[in-house]
Amino acid sequence: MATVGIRGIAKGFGTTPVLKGVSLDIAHGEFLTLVGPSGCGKSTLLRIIAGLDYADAGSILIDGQPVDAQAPKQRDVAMVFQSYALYPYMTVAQNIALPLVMRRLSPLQRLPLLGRLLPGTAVQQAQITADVRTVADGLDIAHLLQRKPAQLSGGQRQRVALGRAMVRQPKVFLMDEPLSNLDAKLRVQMRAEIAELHRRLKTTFIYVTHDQAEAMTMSDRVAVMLHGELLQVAPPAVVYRDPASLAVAEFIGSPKINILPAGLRSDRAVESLGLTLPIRLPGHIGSQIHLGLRAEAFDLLPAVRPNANPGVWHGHVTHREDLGADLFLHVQLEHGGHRLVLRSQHAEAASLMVGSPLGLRPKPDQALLFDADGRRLRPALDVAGDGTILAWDTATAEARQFAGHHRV
Amino acid sequence: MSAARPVSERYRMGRLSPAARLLRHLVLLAGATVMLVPFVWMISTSLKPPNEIFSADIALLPQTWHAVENYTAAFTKQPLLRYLANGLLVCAAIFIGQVTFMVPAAYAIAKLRFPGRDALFGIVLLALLIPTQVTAIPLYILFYKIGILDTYAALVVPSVISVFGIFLMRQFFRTVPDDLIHAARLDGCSELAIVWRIVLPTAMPAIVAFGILSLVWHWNDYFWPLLVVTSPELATPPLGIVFFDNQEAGTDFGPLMAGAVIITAPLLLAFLFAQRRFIEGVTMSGVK
Ligand SMILES: Nc1ncnc2c1ncn2[C@@H]1O[C@H](COP(=O)(O)OP(=O)(O)OP(=O)(O)O)[C@@H](O)[C@H]1O
Ligand SMILES: [Mg+2]
Repeated sequence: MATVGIRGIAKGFGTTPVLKGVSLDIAHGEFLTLVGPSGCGKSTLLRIIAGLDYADAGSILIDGQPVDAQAPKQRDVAMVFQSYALYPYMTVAQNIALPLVMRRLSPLQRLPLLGRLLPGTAVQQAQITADVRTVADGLDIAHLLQRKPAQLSGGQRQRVALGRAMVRQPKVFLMDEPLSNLDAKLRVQMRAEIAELHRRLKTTFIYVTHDQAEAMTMSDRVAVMLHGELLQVAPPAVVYRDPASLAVAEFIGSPKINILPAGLRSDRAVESLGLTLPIRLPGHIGSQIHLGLRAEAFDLLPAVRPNANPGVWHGHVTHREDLGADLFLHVQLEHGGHRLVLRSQHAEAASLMVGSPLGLRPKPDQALLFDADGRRLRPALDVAGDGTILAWDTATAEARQFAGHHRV
Repeated sequence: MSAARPVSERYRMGRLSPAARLLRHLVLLAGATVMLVPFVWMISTSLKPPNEIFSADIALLPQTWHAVENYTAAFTKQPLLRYLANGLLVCAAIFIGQVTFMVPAAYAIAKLRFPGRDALFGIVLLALLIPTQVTAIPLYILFYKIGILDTYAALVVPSVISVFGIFLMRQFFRTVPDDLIHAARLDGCSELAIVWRIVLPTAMPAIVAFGILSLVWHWNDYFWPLLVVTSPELATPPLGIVFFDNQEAGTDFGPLMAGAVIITAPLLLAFLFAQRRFIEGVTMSGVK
């Protein structure tokens, strides 16, 4: 167990800045997930934490102590690589044992033949074998110990890589997209296993992924990274329901959030595509803003004559995605031809086929507003002195629920 | 691999007319003949009695077999076994030395980041262009000054650093994934441990290939041993063979050729043995 402090880490390759002053504090035993699109610098940050790469500026602290001058092996962190990086000509047992061999045996004891004759080597070797066995049992790979990595399936290799990281009980686990080479089914299973592993080991985990399902399901907190900057660090539900910026809202969530142009008619009315939402947003009258609506932020209504009801958007279904549990409707609005994706119930969408007309009403309490630069605009809450919220209609439910959560 | 190759080969063959294919084989056959004739002649001569060697008609097989006499003479007239042992010792020492120096050097140039690395690699490339004959005289004078002429050291030392080996290994190490080295660093390996434990085993096919080249080159090397060795008991095989030539009774070609066959045989055997391992290594790394 250890805390990890990342203080103003900056890094560039040549003239391109890759990390631009990343700061983050990770608590004892926390499971922190770093998500971001490909190339945003996640692996680079992880390598800097591990000591495999140097930062141009900033500092890494482990348990409060700066480790910038320490070599990777002194930092006592373990890493699972995206490619697994198993030693190809060593058996699984040798792969898992290597960290222990390098730490517990002296250089002389490690010599191929002579080492066995030195006092103490046999005892140490037996202990290492026993430890490897324990780890292998825990990961259910004991029957594979004599195989070479080339003879293993992707999932088995992944477990071996985990085993090699676990065996020396490091202070911090770094995982760089460990599941990205697995098929979808195995990924779900390994997701659960890694989360379970974290509960069992109670070690600090820093987990990198660009798969937001992994980020949402496994972590205590999610750090969203874009272009070398942290945009938001918060629990998964907060990042989803209360994103700090348009970029976060667009990156997190599947299907992608619907973004529509909107404007403010008055302090209490946001207008978008001819529809007025009762949202209170003082001080932005006249400015162009973005209205974000998640797939589930709509009420489905029967189709009526266009413009008959000013509180409803009209459109028609262009595509139906039935995923079994979920049903996604792709809808094209009459107004401006905007396309939306919405999540609906089988019961209410039973009669809706491709081409069917329908009416849509956004739920004002789930609307997310962003200014022209993508910064989040929070509706004013009419809060009394004791903290009770007075004006329900103007506050988003999520803002209510999560007001008070810290954010970056 | 086996699935893809026949198709592409058929495709390539299909574009050549039968006549062109025949021509191609004839050219290859002629080339092979030119390469092989001296060897065949060497073996043939080693089986013949002296009077048949210079007879006017060309015959591959002798009329009276003289093999036993020639081969016995090869071993008894000169200490041929001693020459073979010298060759083995020198080649082994050179190869071990070459691996010892070229593997860490190549690893550093391929995988470590330090100022001047690219310049260093440039020097390696430059050194590839320098023929051994150019450095022979300065080295000879140097060895004379430090007094190691006419020793095993004089035979071995100039060859233990092979710029070609460094170049070859560097190209190979470039293909070793960085993650593998990162993992080893986290697992507690020092840089030298990474070189010998992690990186070297992945380069085995390249080492074997280099070993063949090194063995052939230094086993057959005549120029340098001739320069630095004068004592017969230090002679390497090619140098020893020449001693057959210097007998006052004139050159005895039968035993000379028998000796030549004997010193060529280890190379052929080594090559055949290593070739199998070499191909194994290549296919194994291909499967990944
Ligand atoms: N050694 C290097 N030299 C030059 N540029 C590099 C180097 N390593 C990484 N980069 C660049 O730095 C940026 C961030 O790379 P990084 O590997 O950290 O991305 P990532 O977030 O891990 O992406 P992915 O999800 O694809 O793994 C990329 O644009 C990459 O091209
Ligand atoms: Mg990466």
